[in-house]
Amino acid sequence: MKLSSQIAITATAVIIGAAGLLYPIHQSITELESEIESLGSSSAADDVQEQIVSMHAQIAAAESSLEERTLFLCPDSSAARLQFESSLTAGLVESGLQRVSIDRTDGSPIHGISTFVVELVVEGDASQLHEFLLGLEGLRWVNRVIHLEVHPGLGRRTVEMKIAVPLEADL
Amino acid sequence: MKSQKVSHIGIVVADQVLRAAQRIDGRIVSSQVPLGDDMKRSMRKLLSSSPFSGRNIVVGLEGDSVLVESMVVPSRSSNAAEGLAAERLKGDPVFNDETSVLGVSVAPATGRGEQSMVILAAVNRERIAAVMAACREQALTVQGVETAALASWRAWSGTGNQLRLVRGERQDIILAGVDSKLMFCRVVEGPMSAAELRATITRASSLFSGSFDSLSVSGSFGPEMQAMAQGLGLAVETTMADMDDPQALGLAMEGAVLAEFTPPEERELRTRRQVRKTRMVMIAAAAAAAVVVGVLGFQRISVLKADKLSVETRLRVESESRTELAKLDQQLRGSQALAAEVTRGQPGHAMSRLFSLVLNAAPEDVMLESTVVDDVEDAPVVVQTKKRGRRGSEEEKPVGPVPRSLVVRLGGLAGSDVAVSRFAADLFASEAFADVRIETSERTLLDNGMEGERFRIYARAETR
Repeated sequence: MKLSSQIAITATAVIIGAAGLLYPIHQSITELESEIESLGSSSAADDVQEQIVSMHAQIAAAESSLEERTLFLCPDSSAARLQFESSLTAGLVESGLQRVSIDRTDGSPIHGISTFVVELVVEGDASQLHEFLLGLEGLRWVNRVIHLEVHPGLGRRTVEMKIAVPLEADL
Repeated sequence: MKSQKVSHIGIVVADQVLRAAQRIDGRIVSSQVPLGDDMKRSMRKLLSSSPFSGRNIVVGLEGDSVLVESMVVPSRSSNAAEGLAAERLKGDPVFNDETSVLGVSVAPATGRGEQSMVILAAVNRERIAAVMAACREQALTVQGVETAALASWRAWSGTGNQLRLVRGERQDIILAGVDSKLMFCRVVEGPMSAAELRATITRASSLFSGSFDSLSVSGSFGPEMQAMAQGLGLAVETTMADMDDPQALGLAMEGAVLAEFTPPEERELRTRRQVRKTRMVMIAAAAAAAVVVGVLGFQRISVLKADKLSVETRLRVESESRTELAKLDQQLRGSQALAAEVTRGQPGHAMSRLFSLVLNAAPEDVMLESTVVDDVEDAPVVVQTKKRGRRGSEEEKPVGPVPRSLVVRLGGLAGSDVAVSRFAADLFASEAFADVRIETSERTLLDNGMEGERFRIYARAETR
């Protein structure tokens, strides 16, 4: 066999051997590149991060505004209702009104918010009633006088009140 | 590590001595040992006697086993010259066709028409075989087999017509040529006499049909010879001091080989070695390339794996971020809804202010007997929309949140109807009420016997 033929055979064998060694590496590289490309295309991390930052800011602002408020909805619990009645009783004492009766019932929803109603009958004069109403507006929980009736009389009058208290719903 | 520029080892195999020379980085390493019966042993001794490098050798034969002659033949054809040379040796008891290998170098003779100058060399076959066997046993790579006399022409270079004398212990060589081409060679048993040198130079000049200006001499050159050279008009030049063996050095030098006597089997061995060497070089190069590419490939794979891990981590963080975002969104909606509920549940008026406003609006001659305030829901505002379908029936839908109103009913006694009207006008002027109406106002006799005005006023205020 000629020298050139022998060298050509050797060269071919060397090339095939080298290719056999290097092809798996090449294949691994190609597969990894493909995987990274497919993974990279499904990512939009920057956008999500921006949204999170923005959302944190909005929550902070909302929580701040909630913390700054002085009025709250009364929790829907017996303890809270009793506490509200106690506040009313304290308000009566402070204003000088004399309690005749106090009763509590479930009320109609106001603007879709469930309520309970405290029916109160008191005796007193106009200034005492005004002071009591002022005290009501200063309470922690939102309430509204849905019925106020001052009966005829001389001096101390009988006053009927229905005070609706909106309840906090589970949001 | 600095690579050395190393020539082959030129080994002269003479009758009773082995000589060797090698050029290593311009420096000449040479050695000489007696040739005993065991050529292999002598060869080993020769190579170990000086710091020779490598196993590649060129062998040059010298002495009784070699015949070198120069002649002029009447043809420029090399085949014809070889035929004539073979004819010349026919019948020779020592160098005939059976006992020796013939080598012929043909060069056109200048100024002699169709004639050629031929150097005929013949080497004894047995001698070559013995040398080859010794070389194989010593694992030496024989690159060529020549005659030492002809190889001595390569020991040093020159230009133009050159005439050289190489003096040895047992034989002297007269060489003549042009540039790097040797055209005449005569080997004479030493020591050569001045007369014989003169005769040889004269013959060379006649065959060469050229003139020589100088004689380049390697070795001793006595006064008698000096005189002879002067007589021929030749300037004598001596070679370098370190060139004590031009034959061995010539064998070690690269250049044209005039007559090669390498046996065919040795040539085949040489080819095989060449192939093996080439294969090894290719395999080594391929292996090195594969290692380099492999290392780079594995580096690339590790980098890509790190990239993949990074992307996967980023995706995991992104997924966690999305979950957190959803939670935050829910939290935000809850906070906002709570704030909206509080605002929605809060009345749009202050009852204390309304009560105070009513009391303050009442003139002095008006006495309120009864006051009723009702916070009521207004009738919802509705729009009529057509249902889709064949009948196209209409349905009512509420628009927006249901508004609320404060309905105030006041009853009492006044001094006059004017006072009642003023009271109603003042209530309306307060801008707290959207509607103020006197429902009834009639004269009545009071308990104290005086007349008064009994009235009922209706007022409505919008709120939230």
